Amino acid sequence: MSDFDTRLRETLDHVAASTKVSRRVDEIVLDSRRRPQPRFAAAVAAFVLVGGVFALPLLLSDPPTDDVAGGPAPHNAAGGRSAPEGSSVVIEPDWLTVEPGDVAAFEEIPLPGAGERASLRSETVWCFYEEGRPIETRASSVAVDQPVTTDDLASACITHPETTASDLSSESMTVCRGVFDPSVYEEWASSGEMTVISGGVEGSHPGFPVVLAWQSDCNSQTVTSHPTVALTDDLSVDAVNRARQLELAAVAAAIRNCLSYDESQALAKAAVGELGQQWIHASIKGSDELTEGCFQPFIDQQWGWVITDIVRDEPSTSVTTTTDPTS
Amino acid sequence: MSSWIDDMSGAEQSVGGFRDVYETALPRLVRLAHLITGSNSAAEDVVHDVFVAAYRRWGRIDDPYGYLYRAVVNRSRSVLRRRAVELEHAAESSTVDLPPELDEVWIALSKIPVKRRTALVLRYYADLPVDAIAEVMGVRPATVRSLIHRGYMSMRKELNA
Repeated sequence: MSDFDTRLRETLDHVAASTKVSRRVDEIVLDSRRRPQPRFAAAVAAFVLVGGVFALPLLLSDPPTDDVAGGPAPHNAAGGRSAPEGSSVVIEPDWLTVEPGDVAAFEEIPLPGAGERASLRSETVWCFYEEGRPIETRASSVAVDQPVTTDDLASACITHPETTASDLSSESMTVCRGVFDPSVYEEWASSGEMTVISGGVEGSHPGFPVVLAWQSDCNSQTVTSHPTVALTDDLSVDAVNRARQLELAAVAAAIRNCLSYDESQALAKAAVGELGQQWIHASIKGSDELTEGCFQPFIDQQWGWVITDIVRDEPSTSVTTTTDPTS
Repeated sequence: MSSWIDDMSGAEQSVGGFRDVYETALPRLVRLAHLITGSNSAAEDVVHDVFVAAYRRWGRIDDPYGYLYRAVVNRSRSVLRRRAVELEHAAESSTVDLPPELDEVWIALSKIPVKRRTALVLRYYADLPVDAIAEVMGVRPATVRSLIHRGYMSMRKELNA
């Protein structure tokens, strides 16, 4: 065994030994027992913990049933669909529109062991503190049918339980627009695990909210300690809220329907089109959790491309598909 | 598959069995996820999420420990890809208290591609043979050998940078 092998093993063992482990088994068991619709809770647990719409294939039936082993809800093949540009698949017009019942359905999604609502990836905010590591969190304390404000974004950074910064106050917070260096995207693309199907790093996009937790100016104060993030002061909270609405609509679409892979892909592309190619990242994530054959669009405004990223949650299966980037 | 997975086989397929498996497997799974994701908090979320999914289908899982192990590896890789930038930075300001000579190894590990990192963790921490790593990652054994070699070289490059 080489010195390098020894150091690597020792490092891994050392880190593993320092790992903190919290037991939350009661959240799983008790929540499953009190829920009349277990399919929803499992999905929402994944939704919250993994972040975003990854668990949406579990939220298929409308109304949901207790048939855990059952297949997906019948696919809605009703008319009135529109075809997104560049796709032969048609999608329902209301899949990108927040319907009256969508907000209620979203807010009623039960969470295991928590009193808060599920969060949306479009509520993501990065918190940079004067000391300590940056934190990525969600500004999800505001009602889903109310717009997020810059104060909400700052509040998410003040109240985050993992922050080690002290003397935080809303007066010292500056909300900026953050963008990533193109090399970040290139690394993702070159990894071979994701495939660009739409968009590009050169295009304009709304960036993502960054909160500087100290008195600073976005133009003069860059996040110099971070290798890949640059700041500007032109964050559009309207763009954030528009993204929230679109994501909420996509969530609701996945609750109501069992989307095929092609439909999910078309929905992601359509979402990009709705925001004028301003989605930073939208991908398709497949899951066979309880509902094999049902897919959901994964839309994340942090990234610049529409990519195909199918990683099954079922063990030992990781599938990557290739799609013509120009399609 | 690894010895500790073999040690935990034969769990009762009941809620009580679920609790037993949870108590037995949780620490090891969180540690594994921590090593792959580079984040303790992300690791806890990943493992909790996997257990939530497992509980829903508990009666239909033949090999709970193998299932949990593979699911945690799969989901950790997925989370790591999505949070690559954040975690890269987090590792640079390491939250793990390590001696300097190990801290630089930990930081170097955080900077290499996800697949290579996963393969190295499974090889050097979990002590899985190549065939078992291939099964967990859903790739061919030859690919695993390549990932380990390339991961090894990537880390050497990072450490010498």
